[in-house]
Amino acid sequence: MLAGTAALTSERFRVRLGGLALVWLACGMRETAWLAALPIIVGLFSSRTTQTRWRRVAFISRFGQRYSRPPPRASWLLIDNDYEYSDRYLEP
Amino acid sequence: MADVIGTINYAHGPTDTAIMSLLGEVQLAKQTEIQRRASAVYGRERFYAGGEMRFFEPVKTNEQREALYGARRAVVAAYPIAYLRHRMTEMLRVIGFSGPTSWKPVYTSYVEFPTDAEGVQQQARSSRLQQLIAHWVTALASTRVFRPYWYLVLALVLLPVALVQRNRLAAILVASGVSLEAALFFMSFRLDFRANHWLIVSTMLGLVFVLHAHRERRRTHARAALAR
Repeated sequence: MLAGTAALTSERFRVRLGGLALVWLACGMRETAWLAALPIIVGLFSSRTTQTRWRRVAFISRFGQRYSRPPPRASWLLIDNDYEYSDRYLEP
Repeated sequence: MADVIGTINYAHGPTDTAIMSLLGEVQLAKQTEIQRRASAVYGRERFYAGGEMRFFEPVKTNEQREALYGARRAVVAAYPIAYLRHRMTEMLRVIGFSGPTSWKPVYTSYVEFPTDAEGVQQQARSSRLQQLIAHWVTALASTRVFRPYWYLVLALVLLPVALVQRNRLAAILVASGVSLEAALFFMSFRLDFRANHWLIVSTMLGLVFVLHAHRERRRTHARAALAR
């Protein structure tokens, strides 16, 4: 998350895209991590479209709820075991 | 499990029959004096489904987990005030506001209990460097450095300051930390210091950025005064 935040402050669009990917990967570390990513992406990532900030908030909220978890293979890069069950099975 | 036990603990005078109807298919260790037994284990996660005084029978199948998940929804819907009181208690524990006896943010041993080493069939020891670091960290464990609520207070102070300074990066970082911490109100299930790591990191970074901006502003003013 920290590395992604740093990359998102870059002037170069490609580095910002890399930062976005890092933040997305960080979202797989915790079920509510997308809430931490929300202010970072809304505040720092500006695409080359003319979207207003509130449109970006709405888009990322919807996107975050649906795709906040990277696929298990991506999370495997950072943690040492694949998760087989949803967290809700672990702590209902 | 934590939400079911916590909500029952704070519910106002529920009968065993009323609780059993909410729990449905969930298997309890005993079906009498349910609220008293929930209060006895509340806050002691190891006994929720383990040990002699356990509240639930251990959950093994996905059907049993689904039943427990449904029971949680039913109990929360039936006693919403008790649920919020329980969540507030959990939140205060997570941010280290509870008593010093229940707050142990530093773990330096290989396993939590000596008997656990038998289970994993290994007894790892720390290196000399790790021992040195552990010594320092353990010395700080009972200080405010390891009390996340101080960082939360600091973050709530820093956020408006960063906004007034128009310090975008500091404001975003602090907002990110506070946002994740706010989610813990509903999502924390065990006493984990690590749940607060992002709040601590983002707040400290935000503090550095705010102080740096403040210093730069003072320097600019001083230079402008000298130029005049």
